[in-house]
Amino acid sequence: MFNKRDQAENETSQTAEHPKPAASPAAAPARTSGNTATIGASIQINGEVHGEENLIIEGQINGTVNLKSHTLTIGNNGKVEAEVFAHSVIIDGVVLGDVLAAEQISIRQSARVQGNLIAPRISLEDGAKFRGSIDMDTESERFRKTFAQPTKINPVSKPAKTEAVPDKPKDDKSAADKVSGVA
Amino acid sequence: MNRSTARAAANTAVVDLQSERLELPLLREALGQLEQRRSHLLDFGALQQPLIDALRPQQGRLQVVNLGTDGGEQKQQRWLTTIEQVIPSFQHQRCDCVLTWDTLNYLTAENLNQLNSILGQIAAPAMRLHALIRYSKPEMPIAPDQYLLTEERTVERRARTAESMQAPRYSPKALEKHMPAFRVDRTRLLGNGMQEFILRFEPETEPINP
Repeated sequence: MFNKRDQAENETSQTAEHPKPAASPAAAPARTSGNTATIGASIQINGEVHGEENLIIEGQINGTVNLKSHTLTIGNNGKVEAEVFAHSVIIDGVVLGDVLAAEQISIRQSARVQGNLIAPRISLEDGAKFRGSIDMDTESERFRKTFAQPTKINPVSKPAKTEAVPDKPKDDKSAADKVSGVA
Repeated sequence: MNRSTARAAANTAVVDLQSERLELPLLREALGQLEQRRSHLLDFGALQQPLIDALRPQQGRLQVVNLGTDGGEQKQQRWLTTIEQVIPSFQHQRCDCVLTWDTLNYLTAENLNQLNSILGQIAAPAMRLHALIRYSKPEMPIAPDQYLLTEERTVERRARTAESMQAPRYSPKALEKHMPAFRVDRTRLLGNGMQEFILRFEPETEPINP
């Protein structure tokens, strides 16, 4: 259903801005570094979209989008009527619903957004249309519940090494929560 | 303001469509306070990056209702409905500051009273309300202007329409009369004839739980 494209060249700067969290033993096999899946303009999905790689939506999603460790881009043609959870979210298209991002939400010029945005950093381009709320409180119950998952214990695999933890600001508690969640 | 009179007065004059840059010291002060402590802001205007930046240091919250784009007949009642719809958003953290820009000029005395009741349901103690009232000139555009906050915290005013209507020219006493839960804290007359207001929420009774 997903049309995978290798967009490593195009995504270089984006990936650098949003480093991935420490790899979890469970998630590692599914991760395809440098690859980004695309939901094409003619595709409509009703239900939950869940993944372990970056995703571009050019079609329509009704339901839930869950990419907590990855970047979601809602393209110019994309329309999302859903609750969205992602590491970072870039909005070029239409979003009707709540968007929670562990790191950042970028609202581009062509975006049309109605809903509640929760993220520690939110950027906005002139021309974007927005109605709803912005919440940058990473201590809020909803944010913590979403991104601070219980630690999984794997008796075979060693826990993620400290060196694998991406660069994080010293005062970024959300990042700390996220890392503990995937270790 | 008498609504029928206002409608009859529409199209009788043309206002200046050029944009202008405004220095709004009371707004600047209000934004400075947002950086000092965690705040929950209700903005009647459009989402703007400088507001997000002002709230970010204290991880504040911002509720945007963007009334200016909702024009036409009966817009006042739709505005009030829109504002009413965000009441649940303030359930856990009450509102510390409201930016109304120039929208109060478009509300009748009855509308202002309704707004007073709605804001009473979400207000934190001593909530501040910032407003721009068209005071000196008898005419105003038939739709609210667009106000763009710059990084330097000046404001660029852009007219959306050249058509004009009669302005209600609310005085401080009139605002307090129509919005009895508020007291005029400070005012400042601007060079363009508008008056900048900070009203403070001071109800005679305790605010109602939303």
